[in-house]
Amino acid sequence: MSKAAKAQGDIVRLAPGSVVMGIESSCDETGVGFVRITDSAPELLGHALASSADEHARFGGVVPEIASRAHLQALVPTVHRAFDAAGIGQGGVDAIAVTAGPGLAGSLLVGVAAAKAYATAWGVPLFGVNHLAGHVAADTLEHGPLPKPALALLVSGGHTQLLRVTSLAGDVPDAITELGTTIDDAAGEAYDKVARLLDLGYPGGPVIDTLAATGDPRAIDFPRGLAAAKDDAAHRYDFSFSGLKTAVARHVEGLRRDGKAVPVEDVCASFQEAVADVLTAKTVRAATDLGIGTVVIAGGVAANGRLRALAGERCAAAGLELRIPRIGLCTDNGAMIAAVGAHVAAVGAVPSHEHLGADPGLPVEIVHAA
Amino acid sequence: MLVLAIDTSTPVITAGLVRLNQPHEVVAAMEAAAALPLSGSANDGRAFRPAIDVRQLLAESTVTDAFGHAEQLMPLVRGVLDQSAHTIGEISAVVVGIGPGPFTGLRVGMVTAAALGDARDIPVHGVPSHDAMARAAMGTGDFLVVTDARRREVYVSAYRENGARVYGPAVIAPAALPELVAEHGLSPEWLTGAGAGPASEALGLPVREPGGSVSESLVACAVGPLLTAAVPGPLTPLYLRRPDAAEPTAPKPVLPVEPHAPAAR
Ligand SMILES: [Zn+2]
Repeated sequence: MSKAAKAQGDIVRLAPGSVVMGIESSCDETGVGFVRITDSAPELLGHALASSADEHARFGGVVPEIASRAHLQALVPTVHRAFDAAGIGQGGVDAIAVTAGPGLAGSLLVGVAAAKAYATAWGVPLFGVNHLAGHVAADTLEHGPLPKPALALLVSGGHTQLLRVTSLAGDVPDAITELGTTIDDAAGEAYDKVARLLDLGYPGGPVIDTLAATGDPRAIDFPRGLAAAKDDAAHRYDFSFSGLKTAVARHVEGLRRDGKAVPVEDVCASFQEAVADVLTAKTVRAATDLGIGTVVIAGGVAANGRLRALAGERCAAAGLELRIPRIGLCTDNGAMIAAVGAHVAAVGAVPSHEHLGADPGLPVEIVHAA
Repeated sequence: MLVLAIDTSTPVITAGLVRLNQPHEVVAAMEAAAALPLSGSANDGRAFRPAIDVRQLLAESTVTDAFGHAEQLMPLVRGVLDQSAHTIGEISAVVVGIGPGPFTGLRVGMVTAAALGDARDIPVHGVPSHDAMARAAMGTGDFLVVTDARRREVYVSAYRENGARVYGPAVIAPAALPELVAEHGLSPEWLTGAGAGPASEALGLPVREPGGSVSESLVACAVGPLLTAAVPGPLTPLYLRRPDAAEPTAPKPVLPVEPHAPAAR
């Protein structure tokens, strides 16, 4: 049935023209996407998304059990919508890729189980792939192949990482290596916590971005985490947002205690400036240190207006190429998972074992799970 | 028709393949048998009729793994297909247990069934898992099906001797079972199910292992919709519990408490 259906254990290599379906369910978005393998980067055919974000809003963060229940309800309908968006039929799928981790265990397992069933039913190979590689691969759908190596900054409610990316196929030992990560909160998490402090609701990113646009980013001098000289040896490329969050809380509480009005726009703008400053400064520093010429920013926070603007300025000043996929491909989606599957299968790899499960802590180095 | 049966509502992960004969197939087989010459020498006035069952269990496999449903289920499905020399393309329907059961494992079975049904364009029927377990264990006397709900609670359903469910499924602490039985006028004589141990102690009733197959029983519970090709309803899991989620309280203050304020402990 498939162009490359083989016995388990054999390497599967898919020819250009082959179609890969991707399933993503690591957090609160159920995503299904289709890409086509080409001689160059994978081509996006179409994708569909269902989100349980609204159901989590009143809890101020993603509730794992609510997310898992929503994935079960949304999965098959999202597959149908993705087929419609891609304009292909069920017979046209040559391989399936699914997020094997990292993420919420209960959520991941819904996607993994469904992917295994579709792969068995259609007789096509299955590749369990890394969600983080997916965020980087999403950019190749829009901007073509990445130079080797490239530097990726992943920023969302769940991750804040600087990655050195040599291959999205996972076919070399140092395909993806982590240069730095947050030692406490993710950047998106800091947005959510500050928004809660200011009674702005959930999620915090979009509303803070909007309010910040009319505030003064220099009004309050909030701290830049791990940016001091003393942190350079141990945390040159790492991030920390917990101290920033506390500083914002301290500032706001102090004003309220003294009976003063809180200048919400200025607090938002100054907080956002601190986040964007430290993210872009460390990204440019890593690229410069390692002699990498191309920077990719992906993840939900890549939608942030100030981050995009400041990254643009600083990358231009440092002579770096900056690539940011469009918003719909920045946030979690199925097309990015299909894209990793396409990169892996185009080079050729052994499909995941039939006992594939989910790995909530899948290391970023593992692009494709055995 | 070939029916795939799946249950992941307990640590006993189950997949089975069941042949379900259509009524016309049963009738045709009986007529063909009736047309055969009488066999044997004893002329007792009855034709020898080879039996044709409405249902026939072709293969069934189980693995006990409380946290490995996603890893184990599809290999089990492949296994029962291989054992019975059938292919996934020959399956005409899927029947799946819809719980109650610990959520993550339950969802694995349900999404697997839903995806298989979607991928092969075949109907998927949901059956309360306790109903299938009851049918597999049925004997003399009223009884309870009890399975582990974790957090020191159990899922319980009550059945009459004939297999009719008269109470549940519900989730309850084993110690509260005697009161529940009295309150609902139930008169169970025995228990069955993966997790019946604590309930057996609380009620002073024996536990019986099921004599029948859960896969075959799942199919038996859905025989009406299967044979009439009824359009399946939505697959809704029997969670019986709300998600654990608390609305956030006000953020904790970070500034020191005022000197005149009472010390917070
Ligand atoms: Zn993500």
